Amino acid sequence: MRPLPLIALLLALPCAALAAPAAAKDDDFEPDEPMRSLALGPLPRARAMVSGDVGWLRSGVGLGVGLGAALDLVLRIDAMPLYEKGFGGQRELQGGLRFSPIAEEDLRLTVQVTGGQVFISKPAEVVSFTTVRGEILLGATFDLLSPYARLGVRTMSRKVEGADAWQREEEIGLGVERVLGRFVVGAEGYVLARPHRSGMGQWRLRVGYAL
Amino acid sequence: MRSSGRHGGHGRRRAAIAAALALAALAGCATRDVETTPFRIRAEGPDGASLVDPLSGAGFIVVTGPASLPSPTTLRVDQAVVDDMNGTHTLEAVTFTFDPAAVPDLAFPPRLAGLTVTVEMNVDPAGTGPEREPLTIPALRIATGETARSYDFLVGESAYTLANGMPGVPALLGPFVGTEDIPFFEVLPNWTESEPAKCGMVYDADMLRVTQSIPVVTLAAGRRAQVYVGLRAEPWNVVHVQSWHRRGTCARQAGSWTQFAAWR
Repeated sequence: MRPLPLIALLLALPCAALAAPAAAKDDDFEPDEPMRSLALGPLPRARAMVSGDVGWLRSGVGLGVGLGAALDLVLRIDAMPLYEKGFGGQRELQGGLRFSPIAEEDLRLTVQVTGGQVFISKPAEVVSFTTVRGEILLGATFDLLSPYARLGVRTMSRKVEGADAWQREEEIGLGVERVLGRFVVGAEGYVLARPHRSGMGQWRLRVGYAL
Repeated sequence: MRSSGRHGGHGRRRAAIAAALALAALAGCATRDVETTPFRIRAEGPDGASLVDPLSGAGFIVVTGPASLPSPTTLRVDQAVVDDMNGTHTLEAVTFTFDPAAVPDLAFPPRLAGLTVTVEMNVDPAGTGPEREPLTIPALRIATGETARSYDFLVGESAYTLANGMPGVPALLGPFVGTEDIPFFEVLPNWTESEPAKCGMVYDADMLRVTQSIPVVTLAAGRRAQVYVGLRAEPWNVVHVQSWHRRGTCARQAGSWTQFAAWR
């Protein structure tokens, strides 16, 4: 299935979530909301968080929308502006779902699956290929800092004669976040591991705002 | 009432943390260049001087004569008839060598010793390699037979970049006249693997496609295959060392590279 129609279909979900009638307000009941986080879900239902990150190699902007039932819609665009000195190199558009089966007061487990497309500008055309990414994040949320560990697998479709149809790479990272009012700031270091190549260390600094 | 000292302390601590993060971030911007090991093909006269040096521009050199093999990577042609853009002349000997570091078992075919060979070279006095070092012989191929010429060996490398950004296969590394019993080679792009090199992203997993042969094969870097061309029973053993192309330019490094060899 092509990723762009899938992304368009997923975009319809937050509209449905926002259109759903809100529960009658009870002044004596304040629902527990999980501590805000950039990496870990879930987001409160019908609430969104925008984020941006600067890093090496990749930087990007993202949007998360809570769908309820520990499910979030996640969208992200990233590029390599620090390395490519602009936005003309590799750019990736991703969209998918994030599910947080464990969202206790101090412990979170999040699973995320996204599909996307990478675009690379050539002298006379643009090359693109499909990516599918899966991530598992395990973290703890504390008032001072919230650490988490991330394991991700990214596969890229290869339309190259003589090569395997899919190229795989993994990311293993550690990050920390801190909530500052409606803002969440964070930093993550991770290693990009690819078959037959040595690992490559990367990092990103993140900031998000809860809408 | 808070003391101004504690307010200032919190602010200074946050500024210090931000500065430390920024410094760590700047330090963690590593690049990774792709390593290449060219063949550095050489053709030298009896005095050790390169046959390419006297030439004023790119072209072809053809050397004919009886061959001997002082070593697996050295072929010597005695009483060599040399044909280049300056005309035809005879040299006491011409010695051809290459660096086998990229393919340790690459060697001139032993059967060439004692035969009259025709060595054809694509030469460029201004030619450069992946790090803009002088590489003046992008292609060398060897044939035997005077009436019905048949090819036994070819080796080549090139940093010449085509208009589409891909590495160009030098002339003579494949059919040129059209009747040679040599496969046709072309480089196919692979955009899913890359290294963040200093001078732009290098897509270093390009494939070498071998056609006009049986079978048609596509080789990743480091891979080999046997293919048949023409009527000879011996197959061509093709080895693809490496091919890559870069998105970006740099005066110190090439925009593309291809390197491969084949022998019977």
